[in-house]
Amino acid sequence: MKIIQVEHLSVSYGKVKALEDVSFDVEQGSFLSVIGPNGGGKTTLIKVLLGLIKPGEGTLKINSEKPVGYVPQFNSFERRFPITVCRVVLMGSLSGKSPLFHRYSPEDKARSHELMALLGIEALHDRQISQLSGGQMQKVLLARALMTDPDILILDEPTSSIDAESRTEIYGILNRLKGEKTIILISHDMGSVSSYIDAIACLNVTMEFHEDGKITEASLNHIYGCPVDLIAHGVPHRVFPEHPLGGHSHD
Amino acid sequence: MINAIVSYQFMQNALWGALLASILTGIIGSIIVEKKWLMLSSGIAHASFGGIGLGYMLGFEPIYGAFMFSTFASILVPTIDRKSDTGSENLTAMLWSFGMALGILFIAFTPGYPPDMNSYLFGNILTISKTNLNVMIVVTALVLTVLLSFYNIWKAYLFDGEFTFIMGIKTLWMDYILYFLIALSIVALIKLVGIILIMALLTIPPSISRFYARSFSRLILSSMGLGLLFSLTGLWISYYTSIPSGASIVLISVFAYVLVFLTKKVIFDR
Repeated sequence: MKIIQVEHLSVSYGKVKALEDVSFDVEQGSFLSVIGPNGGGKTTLIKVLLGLIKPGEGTLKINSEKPVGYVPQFNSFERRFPITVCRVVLMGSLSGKSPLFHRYSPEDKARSHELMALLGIEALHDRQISQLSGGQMQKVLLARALMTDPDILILDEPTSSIDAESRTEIYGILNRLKGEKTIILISHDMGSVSSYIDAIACLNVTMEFHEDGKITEASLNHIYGCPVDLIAHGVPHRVFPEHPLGGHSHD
Repeated sequence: MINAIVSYQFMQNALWGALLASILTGIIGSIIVEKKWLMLSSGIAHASFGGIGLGYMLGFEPIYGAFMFSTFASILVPTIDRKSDTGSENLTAMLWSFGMALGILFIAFTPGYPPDMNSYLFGNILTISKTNLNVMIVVTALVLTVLLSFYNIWKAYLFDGEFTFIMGIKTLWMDYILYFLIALSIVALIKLVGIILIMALLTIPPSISRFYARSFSRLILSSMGLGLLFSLTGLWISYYTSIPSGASIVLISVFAYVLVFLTKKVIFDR
């Protein structure tokens, strides 16, 4: 089943086009990685998918009743806000239907414990979020996003400011969630292209979609506007086609 | 001072005023500091001066005029901001000065001897009237009701508004409710510390509390406590020295902030 269907989507800010004629489908349970340079429309695409901005032209269809599970970038909220890890995770259970004088139920609390255990952060339960490392914070945000048991998980630059070990851990977690959840990972970082993904989309105002998860040097050069070093970090097998020795492949 | 409290109505009003003000500043101040809406709040406070002038010119209670102007400013700024690219800071600055200018204009047109504006500009806790007190009671009750009935949602909204929106909560409404409550609270506090000094009472207690508060509710409670301490100390100083209460409250607050800041530096960051 196609859980997300985007057709001929365009978004402009004044005269500046952020997205132009973007079309793609996402299969339920698949893992899509969207890469592209900064200013290429990644944030705009996320905002459209989350319903924060309306598409200028084209259509967006999301075949899920539940809200999208969203893991934002660190700078989208106040790191110094006085709040503990468990309270942040519990926030994920709020909704427009939460009643007056709402209190978190024992079920909510049990679920938050379960998710923290799954992500290996149960020891941080009562820690202030201002005291967390980048990798720990990322897992807290992931736990919060999973509280509603979403069908779709969108992660915005989840590995940009964390150490290599946490990065590997987070990819491991995402790989386990894949299949059950549809995952969209957005990054400017080529290292985020891992062997777990089913499809890659290169976004720089327009989009090139690679359903088989393979990406060509030609399309990367096209998207980034200059030759890019194809280096995949910590990848067990190649995602990029082998280059013939001493030559350039443009297939 | 105890004798004065027992025997004089104005001292009782001042005491009640200090108590209500500390509840209001604890809540609204914490929200303003976390949301970083300092410029907007200060703009709302200054814009309300236009309403005070209007009240004097047309002969009605100036505080009601202040309500009109502050509410108007609090709704206008974010609305225009969403629809143009002037930038909310620029808009706020414009409305800030515009409100002040209108106030001066209205007072110039006020027939007879020009009224004394000092208690509105710099505050005087000793001149709080029964009307002021009633206004403060209504505003405090409203702020408390709104905050407590949706406490968990407010907290999520203040921490990460975008995520709260995605969860299906109408955050645009929350924005406007908050702007409105800030406008009401600022006007309710004007008599105590005055338009020009109000930001100190709103921001210093939460800024001190942030050094040690481990949850949002403790941030609010601690800010209330500090607000009460500063207001009462200011009242005490005003009573004995006849320094206007706005000035004494602000001076005490800044002094306390420096003291806590230095203590923390010396004890914890060696």
